[in-house]
Amino acid sequence: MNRILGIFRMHWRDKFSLLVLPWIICGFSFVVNYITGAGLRPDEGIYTGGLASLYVYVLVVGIVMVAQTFPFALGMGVRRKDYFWGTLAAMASSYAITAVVLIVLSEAEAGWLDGWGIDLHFFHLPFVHEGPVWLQAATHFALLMTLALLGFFISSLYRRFGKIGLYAFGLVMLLIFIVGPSLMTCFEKWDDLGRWVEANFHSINDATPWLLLVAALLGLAAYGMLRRATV
Amino acid sequence: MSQVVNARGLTKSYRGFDAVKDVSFTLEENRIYGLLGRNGAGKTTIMNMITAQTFPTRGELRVFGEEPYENAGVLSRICAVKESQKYPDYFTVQDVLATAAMLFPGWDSGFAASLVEQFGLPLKRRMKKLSRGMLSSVGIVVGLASRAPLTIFDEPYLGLDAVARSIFYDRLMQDFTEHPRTVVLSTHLIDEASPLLEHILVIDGGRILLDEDADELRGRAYSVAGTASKVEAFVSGRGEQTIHRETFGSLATATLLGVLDEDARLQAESLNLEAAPVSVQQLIVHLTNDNTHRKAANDR
Repeated sequence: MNRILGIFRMHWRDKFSLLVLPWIICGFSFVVNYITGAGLRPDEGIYTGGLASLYVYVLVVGIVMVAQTFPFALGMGVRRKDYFWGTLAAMASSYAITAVVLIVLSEAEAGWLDGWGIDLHFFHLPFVHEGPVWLQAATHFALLMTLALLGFFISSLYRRFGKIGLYAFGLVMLLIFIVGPSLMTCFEKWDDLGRWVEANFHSINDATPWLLLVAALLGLAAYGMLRRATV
Repeated sequence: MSQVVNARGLTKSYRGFDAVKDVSFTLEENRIYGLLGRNGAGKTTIMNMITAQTFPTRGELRVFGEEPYENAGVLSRICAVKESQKYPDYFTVQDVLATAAMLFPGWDSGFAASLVEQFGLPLKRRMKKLSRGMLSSVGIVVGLASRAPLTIFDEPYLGLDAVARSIFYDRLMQDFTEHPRTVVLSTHLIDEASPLLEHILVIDGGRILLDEDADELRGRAYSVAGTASKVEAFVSGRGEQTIHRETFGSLATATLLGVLDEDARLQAESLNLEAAPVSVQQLIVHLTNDNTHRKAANDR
């Protein structure tokens, strides 16, 4: 049997992590927001970023699923290449479903559910849910895949370079996020950045091509490291 | 007979430390090999290189005549069961077997089911909740039912009791007769496994110490025991390599590399000494225990 398919189905044996658990976490966040919202009832409605919990969880799953299954797959005589594509396919299929469910919930919340009766904006948010429905679904899929591949990347980094690799990566990220903003302040570029974002990003949809680029780069890097990873 | 594995000058170094040093050997089709050696001798490293789970630092390695790295044609024909194999935490025994069934072309699910029953494995239990012995049994089921042309068992029975181990030997022999393949068995329980083994490779300190047919090895050494002076007389009279010597007060035992033939037997009798063949396990213990006698085996 095709081994990419074998790896794909190996991941899908854990449907709970791939499909159910994100919604349990998201559902928990929703309940908390609903109760707070129902209690407070502010006039302007409630806009919450509780949905972010689902995205953070997708990143975590990306890290955990590779850490758990890569040594097992190699032990079962699977090529690193087949492992990569099978894992990517499992991620893509599960997050395509997740993206569609997200958009269905978003449409329902904005439409017939009418803010769950308390003007709660949990699944349908300004800037995040704009434009045609298919584009929204594509955007959310791109966002989910970027986070999943970031997880894949981090796990592959660990497999290839161990703890040292993770520390080095963390240090580089830290430097970028310290030095970058400092330089921005030093050269007084924040206003320019603000204007550029305002002019070019009318909704999160405008970031989709960039997300896809980042996702592709992360995937490429993860693959490169996995090719030289040992057990 | 065609070669399944061919290693030439294989070396694996970890930051200056050579786990495997300049190792050369071949494994032929449809034979059962024993890869024996102490902990840390380099057995698992060699197996990981054969399965391309780790990369050689130097040397050449051909598996089924090809480079194993990222080679689906080669890797799908190998099943390597490691004592240290990691399984996903959330996987049940059933999940592992179902995945193995998808990945190994020769998988026999009927055979797997009968092994599961014989080992009394709980299919629905998670891998991380299994006892050490059950974990080993899962590896054995995967190794046997995959019917891979090259099947490697690396310390397959940690935590298994004698009954379960004999189930393993019996089923392995039975299935091997019906479906011949190349089997590599790495183990500490040398005497227990030695009736199965056709060829023995002994590795020590990252080097091959012995590479010989098991039958030859069985008659390879003998020991004499008795009064120290008479043992000494026997040893000097025979002129054979002594690989081990032990004294208790006035009594002594000497282990000699050589064949315990009629002549040796009579000589021992005339000196009032007890002569007995040395088991493969004892021979290997003597050889790997004492550095100075290592060369003795190779020089012959």
